[in-house]
Amino acid sequence: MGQHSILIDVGRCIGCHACTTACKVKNDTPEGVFWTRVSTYEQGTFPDARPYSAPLSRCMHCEYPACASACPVGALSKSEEGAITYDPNRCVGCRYCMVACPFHTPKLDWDSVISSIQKCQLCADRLAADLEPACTSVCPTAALSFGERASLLSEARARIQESGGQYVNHVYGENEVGGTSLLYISPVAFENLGFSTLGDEPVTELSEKVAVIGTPAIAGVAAVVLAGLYWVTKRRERGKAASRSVEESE
Amino acid sequence: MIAGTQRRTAPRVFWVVAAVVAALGLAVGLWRLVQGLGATTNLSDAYPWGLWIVFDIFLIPFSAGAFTMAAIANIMNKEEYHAVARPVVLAGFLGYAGVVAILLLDLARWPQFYKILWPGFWNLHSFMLEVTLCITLYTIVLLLELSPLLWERLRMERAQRGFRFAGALIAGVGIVLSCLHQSSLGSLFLLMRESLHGLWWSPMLPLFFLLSAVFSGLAMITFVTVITARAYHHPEHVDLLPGLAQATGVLLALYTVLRLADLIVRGQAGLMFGPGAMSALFWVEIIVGAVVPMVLFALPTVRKTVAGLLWGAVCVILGLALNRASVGLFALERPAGAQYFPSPIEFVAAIGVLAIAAIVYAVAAQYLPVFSETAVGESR
Repeated sequence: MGQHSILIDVGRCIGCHACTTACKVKNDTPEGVFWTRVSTYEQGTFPDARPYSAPLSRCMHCEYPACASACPVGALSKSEEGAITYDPNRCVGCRYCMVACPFHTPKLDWDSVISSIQKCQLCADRLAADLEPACTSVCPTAALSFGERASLLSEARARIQESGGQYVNHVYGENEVGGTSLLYISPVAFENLGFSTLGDEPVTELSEKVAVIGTPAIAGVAAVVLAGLYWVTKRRERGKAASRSVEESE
Repeated sequence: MIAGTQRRTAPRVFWVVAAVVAALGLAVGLWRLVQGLGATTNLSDAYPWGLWIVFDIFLIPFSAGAFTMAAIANIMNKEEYHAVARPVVLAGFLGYAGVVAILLLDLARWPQFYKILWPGFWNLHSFMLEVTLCITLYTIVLLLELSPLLWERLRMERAQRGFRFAGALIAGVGIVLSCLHQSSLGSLFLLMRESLHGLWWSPMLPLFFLLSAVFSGLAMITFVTVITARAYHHPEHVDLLPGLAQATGVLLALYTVLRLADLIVRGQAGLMFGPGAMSALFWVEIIVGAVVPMVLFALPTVRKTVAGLLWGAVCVILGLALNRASVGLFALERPAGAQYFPSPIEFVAAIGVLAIAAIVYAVAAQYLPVFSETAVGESR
């Protein structure tokens, strides 16, 4: 099995909230906190308005996750199959992951005294037991489908083709910030559903390059410059002292 | 009893006000730890970082005066600066101690804070890790740089002699750590390519943060020296500052040119003239924080007056505060309609930390040889 993935078809979602409920039951999330939640958007103007709904603002499980790159203590990590999971026992609560995520998905249960990061874990425990995630397992219209990323990607393209121009010709998540495990297709423009327009390059690339190359470089350059300055200063002082003693002896 | 120091106590009104604010700060700080972040702050999922983080990323470069001073006094060994080094390094240490205190208050899972020090958990790609480790180590270095205050006070001759040799090495370690974490504070925001406004996001962020820390550090030296020279009656200390002001001006010019050149090279120059609050914020930052002090410090008649020096330094510090507030708060993209204004508890805790620092400063100035003639990390 390659990359675990979920394809979300906005055109098929009927807004029944089965996934919202299944997720909440399975993960026992705190009051007011959802790891996936159906949102409804009205498109068009009366009398041609039509509501569209989809489970939005959920973790995209990036190929190059900014959250995991940001976390100082490795509380967020990416499994080989692509799930980004969270370990509250390591987390110190700095919330850098929340600020760094280009999709703004990690949340905090602010009402707890000791809060923890709240985000979809792709039901990693269910996957380990050969079950599909809770949300996809209950979707009555197959608006959510679980599978291997490559095959879901071709499925997504096929559905766009079959729609005969009804669907936007774009699989959101195929290339965004280097690609994500969640893939969306939609008959409505993605911006209208609250999706950000993002570049294709991973956001982690530059930061990690600077961490690996820049940090030792800065330390090295600073140390060499300081040692040089110190040496020059000492030499000059010694020179001054020497010329002074020569003058004195003359 | 205390060589080279006069015992000088601060006025009673200072002690009363500072003690009340410090007590309030301590109380709300404890309240926050017991009640959690949601109950005590106005932070939210849309604003995970607020006043406290801005306070930290401002106070760290503000306290950079300690490391620029170490470079001037201990590495370049400019003896005339030794007399003003101690008050500056003490202020720097208290700044870092304040940063650590506020950082701890800001951690949502503070009882686990020590886990960041455990190497088995370290993610070496994380600039949050680098910043945390560096400021922890650097706070210890500053304490070492200040320790001669104690050796002198207690007349521990052997320890004094040991520090004379270790002084330059300790200062050197402190400077390397400072270069690392000042630049890493900027690198923290490299990940925010998609959400930080184009006027501030740049691959050059680490360099910009380092450079602005250096000139802000010089401004902080000016600020602290003018204030303490007045409060503790050492008017001669101010004589050194015009030279520092000139250096500050040169660095400000370099920084401004780099900021503008970077915008042009990245093709984002148009944003400077865009509509909305962001371009205005950018211009206020550049004009107040760089152009005005550059002009003030370039005029010999101005930089030779105490008022000119003080106003120039205050402008640089205001510009720094605006820059860090923009990067850490104002210029980050938010969901539509999201709003944030710090809660009273966030304000009182931050001001309380400053009050505690002021009290420790005044006590140290009274009982330790802070204003003696010897340099930091070095004893006679």
